[in-house]
Amino acid sequence: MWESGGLQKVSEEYADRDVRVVRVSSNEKREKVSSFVKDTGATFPVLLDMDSTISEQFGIKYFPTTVIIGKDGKVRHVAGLLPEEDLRTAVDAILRRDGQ
Amino acid sequence: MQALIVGLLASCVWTPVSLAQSLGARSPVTAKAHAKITLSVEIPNPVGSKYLNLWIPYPVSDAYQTIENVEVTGNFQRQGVYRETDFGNTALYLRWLQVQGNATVNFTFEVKRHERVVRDLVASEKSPSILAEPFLEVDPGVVLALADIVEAIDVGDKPIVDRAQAIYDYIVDNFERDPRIVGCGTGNVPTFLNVRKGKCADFSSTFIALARSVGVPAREVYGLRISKEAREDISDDYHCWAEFFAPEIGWVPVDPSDVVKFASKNGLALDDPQTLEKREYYFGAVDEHRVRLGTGQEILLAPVQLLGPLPYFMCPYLEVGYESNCEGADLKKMNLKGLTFTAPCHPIVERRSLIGVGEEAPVFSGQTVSGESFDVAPFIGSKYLILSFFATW
Repeated sequence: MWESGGLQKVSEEYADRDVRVVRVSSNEKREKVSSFVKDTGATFPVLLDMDSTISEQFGIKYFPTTVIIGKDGKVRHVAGLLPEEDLRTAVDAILRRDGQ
Repeated sequence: MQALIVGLLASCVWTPVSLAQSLGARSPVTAKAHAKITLSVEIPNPVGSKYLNLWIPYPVSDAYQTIENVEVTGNFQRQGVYRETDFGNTALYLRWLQVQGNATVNFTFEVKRHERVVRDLVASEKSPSILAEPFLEVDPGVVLALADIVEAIDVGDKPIVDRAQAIYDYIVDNFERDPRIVGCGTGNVPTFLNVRKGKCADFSSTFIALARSVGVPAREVYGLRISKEAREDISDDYHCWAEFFAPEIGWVPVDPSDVVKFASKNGLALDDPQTLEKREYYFGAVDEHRVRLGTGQEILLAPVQLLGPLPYFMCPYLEVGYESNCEGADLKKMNLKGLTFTAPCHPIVERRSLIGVGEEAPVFSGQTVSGESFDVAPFIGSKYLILSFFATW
């Protein structure tokens, strides 16, 4: 899976810059998500969104979708598939703009 | 949950392109069938409905069948072919967003099907592979009902093929076919054990439950019969059979239901030579007059349906969404010519559009996969957050 190592790496490397990662799994069985956590060693929160309550709050219609939220609580970036390098580029750009 | 009945007209046309060789061929060249099928569905507009979602089992090519010349026409607004990941069932998914008049679809395909024969079954002493382990799970609700039979069959620690043979023989010897039962029967094992009469779903589900109870991995297979002659309506031709997993061999087909059906339809005794021939044939073989549609139980389709898992996915499945409160509508399962449709009452919730840059992020909470509560509130406004929304269907 494209994000298997990427999200975890970003989560670890940007932790001291106040960046947190959360994965929201829609309509996926607990066993499947558990094996994702096990396989990738994910230490960030992985939420079960069985009834799509969370994804509907964000109007998510396609998966995967990545949403980056700034420190001010406002959405800063919305994208679909974000490979690790593109995710770093997006996060770096936001941090740079904020002078972080 | 409530629902409104929607009337439905469905018809299937089956045209053989070339007729098969005779059933029961044992030569290395297996028998073949070649036919064209059209499934036509017409759903009169349910009053108050806002959308319709329809899943139709979508046959795919494999080692024994080739599916080609697929055509899908109708007045739907969305269509796609999806494969769920638990069992690998494939569905033609159709969605009507604005229902005006009748919803219609015609689904046509050609199939070239081979007879499937697995002979020289070696009674290996090996255990099933780890891949077959999920197919050993027995519904706890039927364990007690099966206990006496498991004891009577007494397969002990015989090789797997012998255990499967003993169960196959028990089912052929002890159960009857009831032609009055609609469609394929319910596949309810305790009921079948009680009344001792049923149809293919009852025979195959009981074979599977018994096989699993004695350590033989087994699964169901759903399909459509291929008529030997052109027919206007084949909606009674849904059929299911079973497979068990034999080490060093793989999945082996069995169809005890067709043995009993053959004897019953021809007024033959179980020890009649013709019945015995069928009995021998259907342990390890299935004829070419069938299209394989899928397998599995408790199926979550893709895209996932709203009303939870389906016991099995052999017939088209329909869900109807309503714009407003639909209280008062009757919850009924439609069953017309073997096609079972469910029309749940599901009030539509307006969905917001995708969140955009600059918008305030919603505050949410939930449960993690390890069962802990998680609240995003402490992070909003104090941390940067990367939210990865994911689904694997």
